[in-house]
Amino acid sequence: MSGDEGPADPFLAVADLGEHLARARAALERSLLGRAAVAEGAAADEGPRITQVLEVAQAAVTSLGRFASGLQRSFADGAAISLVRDGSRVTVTVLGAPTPVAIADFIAELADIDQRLLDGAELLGLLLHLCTGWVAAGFAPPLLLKTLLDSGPRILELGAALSRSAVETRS
Amino acid sequence: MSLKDAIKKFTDSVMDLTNLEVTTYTGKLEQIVDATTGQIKWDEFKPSSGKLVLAAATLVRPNLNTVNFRASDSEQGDFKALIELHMAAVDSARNGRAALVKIFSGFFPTHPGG
Repeated sequence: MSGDEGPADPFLAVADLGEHLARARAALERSLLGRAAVAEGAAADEGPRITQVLEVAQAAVTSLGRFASGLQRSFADGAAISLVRDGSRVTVTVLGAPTPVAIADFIAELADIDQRLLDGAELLGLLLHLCTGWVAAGFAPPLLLKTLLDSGPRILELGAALSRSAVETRS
Repeated sequence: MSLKDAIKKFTDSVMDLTNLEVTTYTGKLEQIVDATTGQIKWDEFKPSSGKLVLAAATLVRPNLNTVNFRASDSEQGDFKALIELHMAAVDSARNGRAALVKIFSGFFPTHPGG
């Protein structure tokens, strides 16, 4: 991608990633079900692969959303902890007297969310580039198909790091 | 707040790579619990409510110089665990900024040899 194809404001565009992915999926579903896909030479078995790539992409956006949403937890003894992100400010509020174990659990969950974001950051950067091109092309199915097929292996590779951290979090 | 709004609010921090500010407050539960429903009023977790006490604060400047404040003690719970929580929030803020820089790195111009 050449430099002049970048968005005027990538900082705002990243907030639209989820919507762009949903729009791309919808456009492709219409295309793959219709004649357009055949006309553009898309193979019949590309659908599941594209779906997998889009799901991995969506998981990366979810990791960013989960991080950005902060973290709130309340505990059985009535205590509660809230972590709110507001631009460059982070505010933590502790109500009542949560036990050291409850605080340690909160810290561990926060670290997991951080790690998932860090693992997904490179993928999010790649998606930002792809979405920039999609928006410029009006989400034309041929371009969506080509870019997703071209970038699919890299997206799946980067998504594997996300999957690994998710498994480690659950285990 | 929608996912999109949360992301936008967060990414606003990259607009100006200035200070990172992390503050930790403590308060009493009854100040935030709805007496009628018994539910926590999450929206009232605001320092501006005047009901919360500052336990610790950290300012990380762009050159990574860091200013820390911590109260001498807290009336509530385990103060050591509270400070660990605060420092975890500082780490998280730094992680978020690192991730954003990584996400947007392809959009920043690079200079040959630089």
